[in-house]
Amino acid sequence: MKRRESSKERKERLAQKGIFLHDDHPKPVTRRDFLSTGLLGFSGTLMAPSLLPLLFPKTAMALDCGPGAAAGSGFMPFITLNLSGGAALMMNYVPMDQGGNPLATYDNMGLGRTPTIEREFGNATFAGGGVSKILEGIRASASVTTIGKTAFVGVCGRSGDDSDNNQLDASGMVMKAGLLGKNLPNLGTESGQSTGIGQSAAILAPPAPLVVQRFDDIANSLGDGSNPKDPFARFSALQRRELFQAMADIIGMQVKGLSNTRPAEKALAQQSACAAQGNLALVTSDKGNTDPRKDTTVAGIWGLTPTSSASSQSTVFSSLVYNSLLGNAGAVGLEMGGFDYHGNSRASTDAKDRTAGVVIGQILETAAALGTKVFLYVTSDGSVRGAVSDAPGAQWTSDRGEAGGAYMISFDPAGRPATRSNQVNYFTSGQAAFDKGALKADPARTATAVFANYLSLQGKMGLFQTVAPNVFTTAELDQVLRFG
Amino acid sequence: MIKNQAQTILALSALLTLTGCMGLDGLDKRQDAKRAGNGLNIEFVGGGADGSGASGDLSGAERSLSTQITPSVAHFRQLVDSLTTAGGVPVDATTLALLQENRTILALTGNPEEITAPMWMAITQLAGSVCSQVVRVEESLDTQDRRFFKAIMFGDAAAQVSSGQIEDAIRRLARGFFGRNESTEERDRLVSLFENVSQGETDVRKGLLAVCTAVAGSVSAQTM
Repeated sequence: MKRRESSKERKERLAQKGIFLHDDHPKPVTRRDFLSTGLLGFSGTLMAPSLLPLLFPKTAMALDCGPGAAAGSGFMPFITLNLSGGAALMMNYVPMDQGGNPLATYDNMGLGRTPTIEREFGNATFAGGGVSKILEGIRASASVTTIGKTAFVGVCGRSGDDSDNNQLDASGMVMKAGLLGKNLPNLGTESGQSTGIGQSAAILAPPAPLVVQRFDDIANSLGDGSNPKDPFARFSALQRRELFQAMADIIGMQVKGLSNTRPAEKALAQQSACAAQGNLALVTSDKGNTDPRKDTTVAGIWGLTPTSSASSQSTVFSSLVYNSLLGNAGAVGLEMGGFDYHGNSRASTDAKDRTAGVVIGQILETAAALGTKVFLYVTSDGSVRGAVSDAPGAQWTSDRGEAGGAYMISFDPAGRPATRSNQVNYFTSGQAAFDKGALKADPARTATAVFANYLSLQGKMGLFQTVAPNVFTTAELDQVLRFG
Repeated sequence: MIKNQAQTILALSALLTLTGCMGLDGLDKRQDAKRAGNGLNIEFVGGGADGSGASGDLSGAERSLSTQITPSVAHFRQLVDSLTTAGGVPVDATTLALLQENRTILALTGNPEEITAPMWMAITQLAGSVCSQVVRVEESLDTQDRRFFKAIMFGDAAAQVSSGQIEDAIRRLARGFFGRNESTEERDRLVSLFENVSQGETDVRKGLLAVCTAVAGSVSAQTM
């Protein structure tokens, strides 16, 4: 008779597949729970549309149809990678104390008493000796040359565990500052979230993102006839242009009579007329290739072929990254599930960290292949506590958002961007992010600090107070700026 | 028929004015009424039923009531139902697949501020898909059984279609999808769309598809 699998055995078996269940957590119920545990790898693998968007209606910020979108914005691509569930970000990057020195011990951070420090990206401190699997993953997918042109800053900032209420999304501020795509709006992978990832917006909500769960979502939005279901597939470029011109004209006629004083009518007139004009610009522009599977170099980086599934994580992530780096899209958010992984063997959680590192490396390598700058912001909701041990490699035992943090990573094909140091804020002797100073224990301040660095890197700090007024004092701003 | 439409609009407007706050059920009821009466459109707010700005088929009291309606755009649940009902065709597999693909792009609540360029692109694609079916179905019917293209001879070359024939089709499409007659301005633009798309074409199908899509994918067909 077949022996019944024990609970522990089942957990270990699932963990090997990247699915992490906990005795101290309720059974996953929400879509977010499923993502965090890894039962959903990422949004694109869910074939049936979720009903959750009905429960969490997204709101869109009113857009004016100025020339920016069509012309491209001149801002560096901004990509957020959110590791849903509380990843061990500050246990891969090794945070320093206020003086820039190692803590006396990291014994509840899974790093042992005195971790071996390995420096990468110039002078950023990582858990050496093969302990940092995020670093290992980055090195597996990004070349030495690419890493040599990349800067890394660890941001020590607390956040709530297992929650999408952390205001860590900076895309609203980035878009407001001026990052606009030539052909596509801001993109995300997580439906039911106004940010396109499992984090709430800090300071400003972004425009409603185009949620991409398969490449076709992008192709359809571009209306380029590449979708075999496109009813105008047999139209010539001229016929397509004439159709969209006529639609823009007719919609323009129809909204002329709407009230300019009633907000809903004004919004309807403005939004629909702008949408029609935007689509006319879209179908008449030369969009070039938007499918990374058809770009041999980029496809190679992501392990894709021209026939790879349109809804695989690699296809979806690479599609968002590719169109962001080409300037087609505004801010981009990628959601990776499975990081609520405490309580499982270190081997299985290390494997998960490595997958995140591989994606980070793939993003950097794609930027290198396209010869484009990129600003990458890596976030999570909360973090983990390790079993107290003087040796590195202890198992993660529980959530611990006070040891949370984020990464700012920037690639420049001309060479590594300059940084004042590789860390914002610091860890205390209690092995936790300092909860006062500029960041306090407020995720929105972490996101705003990242936004400030994004502007500073591009010499655009003049926009900061316009977009995020009264968040930081001058002294606090000095505490958080590392780029530029 | 027009009188019946106005009565439907009046009754519905009164209902909405009384109920005030409008949820999804309310939207569905309005959409149902739009299907039944073929028209509760935003054009009535600022002008007459012919789009000219004249009072048209609505009395002052009726217009007064309709001005109290908050406009919204069909959300994803209503969109295909509305298009296929107005077009008189069943929902086919291609349209359903397009709806599925575009579900995260289409409006969730109908709030005008949800409208984005990708959303309108999705509406255009769905309108085009339904119109492809309309053209296909009507081509297979005898002229007297057709809903929109009664005057069109599908065997003719595009150049042989007279302005009267295409204007008749436009009038029928406008009544079907807008619930009102087209304005002169709209008619002229749609006629030129047909002519421009049909240039060099040996048959009328592409031109009709373009005209039908421009009507079905416009604000008047999508707002309530």
